[in-house]
Order: sequence, then C-alpha cells, then structure tokens
Amino acid sequence: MTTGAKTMTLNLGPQHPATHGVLRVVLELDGETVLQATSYLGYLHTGIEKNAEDKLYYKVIPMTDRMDYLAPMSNNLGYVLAVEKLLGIEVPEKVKYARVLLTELTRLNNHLVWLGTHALDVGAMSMLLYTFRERELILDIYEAVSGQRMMSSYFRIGGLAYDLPIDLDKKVKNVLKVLPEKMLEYENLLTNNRIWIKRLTGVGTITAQQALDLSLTGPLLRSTGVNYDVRKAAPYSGYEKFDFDVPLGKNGDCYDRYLIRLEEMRQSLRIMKQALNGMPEGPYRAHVPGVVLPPKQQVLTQMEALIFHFKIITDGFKVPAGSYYQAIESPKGELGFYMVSDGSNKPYRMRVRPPSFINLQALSPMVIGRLVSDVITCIGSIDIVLGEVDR
Amino acid sequence: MGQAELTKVEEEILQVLQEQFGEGITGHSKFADQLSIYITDDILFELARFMKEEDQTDFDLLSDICGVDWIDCPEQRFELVYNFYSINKNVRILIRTTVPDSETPSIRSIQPVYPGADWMEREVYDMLGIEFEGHPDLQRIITPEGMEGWPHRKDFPLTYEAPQFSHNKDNPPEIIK
Repeated sequence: MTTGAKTMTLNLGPQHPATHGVLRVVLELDGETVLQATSYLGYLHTGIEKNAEDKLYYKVIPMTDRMDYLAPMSNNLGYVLAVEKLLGIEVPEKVKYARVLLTELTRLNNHLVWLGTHALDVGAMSMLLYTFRERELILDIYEAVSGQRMMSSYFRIGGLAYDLPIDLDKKVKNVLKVLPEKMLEYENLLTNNRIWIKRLTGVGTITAQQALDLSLTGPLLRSTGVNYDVRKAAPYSGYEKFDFDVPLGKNGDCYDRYLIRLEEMRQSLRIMKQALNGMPEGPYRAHVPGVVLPPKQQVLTQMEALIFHFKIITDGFKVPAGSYYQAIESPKGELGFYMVSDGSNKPYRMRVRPPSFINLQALSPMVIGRLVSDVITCIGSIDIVLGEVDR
Repeated sequence: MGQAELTKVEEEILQVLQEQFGEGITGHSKFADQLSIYITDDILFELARFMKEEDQTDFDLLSDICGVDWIDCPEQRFELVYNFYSINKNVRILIRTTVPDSETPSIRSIQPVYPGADWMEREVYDMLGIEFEGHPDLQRIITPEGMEGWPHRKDFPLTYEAPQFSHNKDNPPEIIK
C-alpha cells in the first residue's frame, strides 16, 4: 500500500509497557495511519522445547509454568495430560476435579490480568488496581495448594504434588462470593462507558474466515461466531461432566472479545462451583508403581516404596515409544503439547503449540489501515504473553 | 504403539484421501484417539488444498506444524507433523511426512492454502533448517538474524555460553557444557 506521500517508520517496543512484554512491532506510518505492521519476536526465547529434551519427564513440569506465567496451571495440565496419555495412566476422580477447579481458577487469574492491563492501555487506569486486588485472592489459593504464588508447578504426572489443603473450601467459596460482585463493578465502569465503547467497537475486526485461515483459537476465534472450544469439542480431565456455556460473539472486534472474556469468567465461576460441590473423596495420586511417587507414609515405613521413590527421583521412568498431541483450552486459546517418546526416560521431542504465538499473527491484518492508538488496543485484545510466544 | 479402531468419520476421510491420492498415502496408524496418516512429500501441497476445500474432508483449521529430527535414520531424518482439525466434523488428524534429502531439506510450503502456516513454517525453518518452497517471507523468527546452526537439530549441542562483558572481552569465557 503506497500513498505517494512520505511515510514514517515507528519502532514500537521491545521495551514498551503497552506491548505486554518484549514484543517489537515495526510500524510503517502515513501520518497516523498504519500501512504495515511487522512483528519481531524472540527477545524472551529460552529454548524450553530444546531444554525439555535433556530432562527427565517430571523435571519438565516447572519449565511449563514459565511459558505462560499468567496461566501456569493450564500449562502444567496440558503437559501432564500428554504424558499420562503416552503412559496410559488413568488418574483418580478427585484429581480430575481438582485439576478442573484449579485450571478454571487460572482462567480467572489470566482474564483478570488481561482486563486490568487492557483497560490500562486504553486509558482506564483504575481497572488495573481493582483487578489486581481480586487476583490476590486467587494467588492466595495458589499459595495454599502449592506453596508458590505464581509458578505453582502443582500438577504431577499421575496426580497432584500434595493433597488439597483443608481450608481450600473456604478460600474458593470466598472467591465465588466476592468475584461476581466485583465483576458487576467492572462492568459498571466499562461496559457502557462511552470512551470504552468508542475505543473498542469496530477496532481489530476480523471475519470468521480470516480467523480460521490464520489458525486463531480461543476468544479470538469465538468472537467471530465460530463455536470451537476444546473443553466441549474434545473434553479432557472430566470436562464432559460439567455444565457450562461457551459465549460467542458476532462482530469479531475488540468489544466482542471483552464481552466474551467477561462471560467466560462467569462460566469459570460456574464450573468451579460444580467442581467444589462435587469434589469426591479419595487419593490424590494414581497408584502406578515406578511412575507415580508412593505416599510419603509408605516411603518412611516400607522398603519397596522407598526403593520406588528413590528410583523415580534419580532415574525417572521410561515412557513407551510413541507420540501424542494433547490439546487443552488455555485462557488464550488452544494450547497443545505434542510429545514424542523414543522409549527412554527423557522426551525425544516436546513441541508446544503456543496459542499466543499463533494468535499474534492476527495483529497485522487487524491494524492495517487503522490508527496507531488502535495498535495498542489490538495487542491488548489478542491477549499475548511473550514468555509463551518466544518460549 | 497400540492400534485402536477407527471411528466412522475417520474411516470415511481415510477412504476419500486414498481414492484421491492413491500411492501418495503410504499408511496410517492410530494411537489412543488420534489418527495419523503417512504421506509422501510430493503430494503435501495438493493434499492440504484438498483437505481444506473439499466438503468431504473440510479441515478448516491447521492447528500446528511440528518438525522432528530423527538423527539415527539419516535417510529420512526430518519428519514433519501437520496437525489438521475440522470444526464441523470434530476430528483431528495428524498428517506425517518425511522431508527428502537430509543435507538440504526442503519441502513445499502450504502457506498459500493455510495463511496461518506462515509463522509455523518460519519457526520450523528457524529451529530445524527445513526450507519451505513458495513461502513468501522465509526468515528466522525467534532466533536473531545471523545466527548460525539450527537449534532443534539433535546435533546442536545443549550448551551455555557465558555472556561477554567489557571486563572479559580479551579473555572470552569458555562454553560450559
């Protein structure tokens, strides 16, 4: 696209707070209109996929947190499900419910941060303070279950790291009670706010065909009206037992995506309520000697358990040769783990299908022909985490 | 790898593809609930177009492209796994193909059919050095320009190079293995 007039090149990022990390976008501008937007990635590349090839299977789990650090439990879940599938392990019901409860909590966490930062980019400063206040409640639950506030690494192959804490009930119920009220507050501030509507409606519009062509998933795809949610399409971890709706948009613009994410938060609360009420009693790990760690009580009293414990920690366990692609619905879209095993105790190849990376391809078609300020809105609306884009 | 029964939809798709491409389809396998179809590299582009445009297949979403380096079999070193998903049929199929020529691996790009393959192919190129013919802008995407070597190849060492600062410029740090 050329206009004949002199154009200007603007370098947005990598050290710019509105790019949500270290994304660098080079904009070709005519006045304030964007003619071309090229993304440059890799400033946060840590080689997680390559590193995983040199680690025992259970040692990869903490690295998966570091990819999407706003949704650590989702990443853990995708990885452990893929490995469990290769091993053929079926986990106890309680584990499934706990995983659903915690990944939905993760979705809330992610969407709260997204809402705060997105609103901050667009100019509604106070939202960030409100959403981070509520996020604190969720981080407290993370801390209670895993001991860590952000990099929880709580799921293990074949179960959970520890049993759920006894006061989890109380803490989750608090979130279930507080958040709907607070979300009304957010909506009062934003949904009918004239500035908010003007900045978001009709901005970053994509059609359903465009979205499918670009392989977009998650709220980005659903905002165009395509009904694809991995939780419904290929239920994992017992999602088929839960009753929830998948919100869909019509226009495929930033405002639709805002409404969809808010509704997703309400649906997450609904799922969490069901998971909490239906949480069965039972063990928090599957009984698979040689793969899943035996209960600590047995390790301290029985010789065999001690040997298994020692063997698993030092040598890991062998995974039958094969490959499997496990997709889950992370807050940002379809998160996939493609694991290849050659029969040894380390992954032969781990490929992550990062939703942020692939969704970010939509930035250029979204912003071409629009103003610079819309670029910021679009980056926020795509919802990226650079740790996952670059891995 | 356990062989599971194919579902009806999967059987139909396999049959349609076999009729259309004959010799190009070299086999299939199923692990758990996932069907893999093995194809020769020359039909990849046509197959992608067929999978997207025909109503019988209707694979509207290209989920992922993954490259695997099988260094122990030098003849067929690079395997590419294309992950297609059909929203209407709710079916996922992995199309597997081997890249010919392990020295200068190269395969036809499917970016003209699935525009979303753009960055996925660039990443495979960046990490494994597989060239995609017909890709409009095949550059490194994650590692910096001017980088040498292909990080995800198995013969690329997993090492750590200590950063150079002004105080150790004359005495560059060793590579720590």
